[in-house]
Amino acid sequence: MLMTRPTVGQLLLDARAVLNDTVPITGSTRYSDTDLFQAFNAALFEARAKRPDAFLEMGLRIDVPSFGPGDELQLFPLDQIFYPLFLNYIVGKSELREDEFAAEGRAVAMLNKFVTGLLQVAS
Amino acid sequence: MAISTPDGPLIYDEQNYLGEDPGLTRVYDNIMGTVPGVLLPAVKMVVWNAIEEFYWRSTWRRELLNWCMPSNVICVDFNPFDGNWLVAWVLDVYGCGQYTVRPPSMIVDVGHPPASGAREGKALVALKPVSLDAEFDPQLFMNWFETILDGSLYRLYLQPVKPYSSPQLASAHAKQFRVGCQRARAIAQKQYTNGPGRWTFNYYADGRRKS
Repeated sequence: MLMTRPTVGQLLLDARAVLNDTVPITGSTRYSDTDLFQAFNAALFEARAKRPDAFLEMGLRIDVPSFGPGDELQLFPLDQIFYPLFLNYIVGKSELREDEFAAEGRAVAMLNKFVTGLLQVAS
Repeated sequence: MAISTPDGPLIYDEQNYLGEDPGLTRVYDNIMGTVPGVLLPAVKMVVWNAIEEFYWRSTWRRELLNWCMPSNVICVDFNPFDGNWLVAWVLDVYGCGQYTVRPPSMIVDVGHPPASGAREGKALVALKPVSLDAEFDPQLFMNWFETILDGSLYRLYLQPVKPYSSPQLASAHAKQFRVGCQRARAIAQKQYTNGPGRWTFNYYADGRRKS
């Protein structure tokens, strides 16, 4: 069994897959790396407020780390159980943007799922 | 972890389950296998709090120390006891003179006028570990495993807005933890004999009939 911790870049790639982010005609992406990193950082802030125990290993008396383009190879900073929740948040936060492809209902559902997953056992 | 082999039945590999230290890792595994969504650093935090409270409440680890105050010295501090242990309580002081305890670990000669010359005596102290990395006495996890587990679980269940928050379970485990601490204290007071603890005399020994 190969046990490797996922990277931040892998998380963003997974988010792009759920977002169906590639525009078929042009092949470009709708959400820039900066957009997705901002969503990831926002998820870290939300998690810090709701689940401070997730940051015990990292240290609670320091600032929440923030990531940006170029940090794709950094390891996912929290326990792996939070990985799918962060995926939900990044997708939800991105879908909130006003454009013709975004599904606002799905965005709200994903963001709620993030909060519920942090605070409750029920998924 | 169950491992399937190509030509045989499932093999149960207990190495990852029990770990190298069957005491502490057994506590971790029991908690993490029971409480949903709990993280190891949070488990370590509550286990350490529970162990410290256990020693503090139960005075389970006791030592009888010889002390000596040289001339013109009026106090002795027993801390640190050694690299792994600290004195949490001074339970009793034996020696000629008047002594008072300054918590947690100091005795002060309050005799008046101050005694001249060296004084010596004994002190019964209760110890607590310095940290989670300390070498605990082997009996901690042999005899008081359930108590430490209860003390850890009640702290976890008591935490607000967590997937595992449960005031009812917290209350039940807290009660069990306190009972365990009291039992440990009673046994330590009886000098680690889990029997009646005192000599029994014939009914006429103290001049009255035993009821």
